[in-house]
Amino acid sequence: MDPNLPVLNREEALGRLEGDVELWGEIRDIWLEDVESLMDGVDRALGSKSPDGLRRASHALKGASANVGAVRVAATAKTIEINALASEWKALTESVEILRNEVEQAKIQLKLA
Amino acid sequence: MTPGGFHQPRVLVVDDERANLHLLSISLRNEGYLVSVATNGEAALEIARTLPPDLILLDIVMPGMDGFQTMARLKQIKGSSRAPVIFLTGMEDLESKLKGFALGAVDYVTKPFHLEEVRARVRLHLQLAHAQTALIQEQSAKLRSLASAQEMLLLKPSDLPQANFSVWYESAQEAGGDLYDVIDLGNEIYGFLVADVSGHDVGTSLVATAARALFRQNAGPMYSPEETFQLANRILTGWLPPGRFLTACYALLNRNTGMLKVVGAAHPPAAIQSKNGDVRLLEVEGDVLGSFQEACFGRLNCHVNKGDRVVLYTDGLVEDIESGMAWGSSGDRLIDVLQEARNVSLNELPGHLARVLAGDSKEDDILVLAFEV
Repeated sequence: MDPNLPVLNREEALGRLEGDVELWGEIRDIWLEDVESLMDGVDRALGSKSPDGLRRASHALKGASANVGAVRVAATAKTIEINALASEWKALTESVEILRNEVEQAKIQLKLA
Repeated sequence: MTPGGFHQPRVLVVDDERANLHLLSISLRNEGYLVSVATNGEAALEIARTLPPDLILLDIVMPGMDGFQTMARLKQIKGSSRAPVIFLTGMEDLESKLKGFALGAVDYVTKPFHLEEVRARVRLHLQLAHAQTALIQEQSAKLRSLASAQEMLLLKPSDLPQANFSVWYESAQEAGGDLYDVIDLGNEIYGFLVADVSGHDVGTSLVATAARALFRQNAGPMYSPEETFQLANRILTGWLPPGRFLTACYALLNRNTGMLKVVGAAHPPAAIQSKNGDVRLLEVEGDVLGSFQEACFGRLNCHVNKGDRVVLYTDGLVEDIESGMAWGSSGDRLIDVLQEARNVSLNELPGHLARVLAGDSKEDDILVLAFEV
């Protein structure tokens, strides 16, 4: 992942929504409501060592986060999605830990935005 | 339908992600569309049965039934089967895009999507679907007037010598139900059609006249041979009286490439008589034309060489009236006769086959069309 990626790229997300700030606010609220459940899905798949489950759960988190502009979460989730079927569980566990931290950072910034 | 009689298009959005459903439904409703939403494939099928959509936006990766499975099931639902499907997919997912197209999707939108782009694609594909429906209705109207002409203008080999074909047609009664056509599609590409309309009355003859015009209207480079049959089938299904149908075989020959494509609609197989004397039948499976909307037509591609000859015919040539067997061992008999007829000229070949195989039988129309590569 590009270390220069911002936690939140609100402008890019707004560009896709034709600058509709109100609509962006609505999907931000949806993301804040859903992110714990999405992250639980990732944790469950990791705990049960289900490669396909991990791929699907990280795919869902990636999509939701990309929409709202949480680009670091989206990028980290994408890496896990791609590697879920081929990587060692130790490496995946570390990636999920990074993902969790990114989610916490994104929550802080999105609540403030 | 609005109170003023305007059909308000309905878009079905299927995605397990709440934010996507929210964005798409608000954006599309603001444009004036009716929007139905489903968070999984099963729910989408249920909605499609009760509120048939004009277009479907469909996510690929969903829990349970994925987008591909959902699409295949949606295509089986009356009222939804012809709605264009646009897939929602990840930017990097080439394999999914190709699979979506193979299954009949018309387009895709990459996620995260730009709302303006989604609306533009939705608008475009609704316009295309609308235009195709209007075209089908227009062609149906033309066919009705054509049928009243009560005259079949059959093309003679001398009218199109570059197609290099010959034909034998003998009608069992005054009004025949067999038809053929040869279409010059340009660039050394020719379409050869032989079809058989069920029944033996004046109405059969009118159907044959109209059907010939219909195939001609829907042949051309913008349609594959099986699409030509599918389009013709849609119109015929709405136009033919109950119990009336066609069987047909359409061969598309590209003389530049030597590629022969053959599509079948429950019709006896075409035969290839190669220059060295070998004969083989091209069995292509397919449903009859004009009985039901979602009929399927198989296609077979093969390479042919200069001097090879292809024979298309109707079942009157090969059916055994006494035994009631329309096909089967008579295929072997056709192969035998063709193998022995290598030295018969192209002009003589159809008549020769009719005399040897059908003899004096007048129980059914006999049509044989042969062309040389």
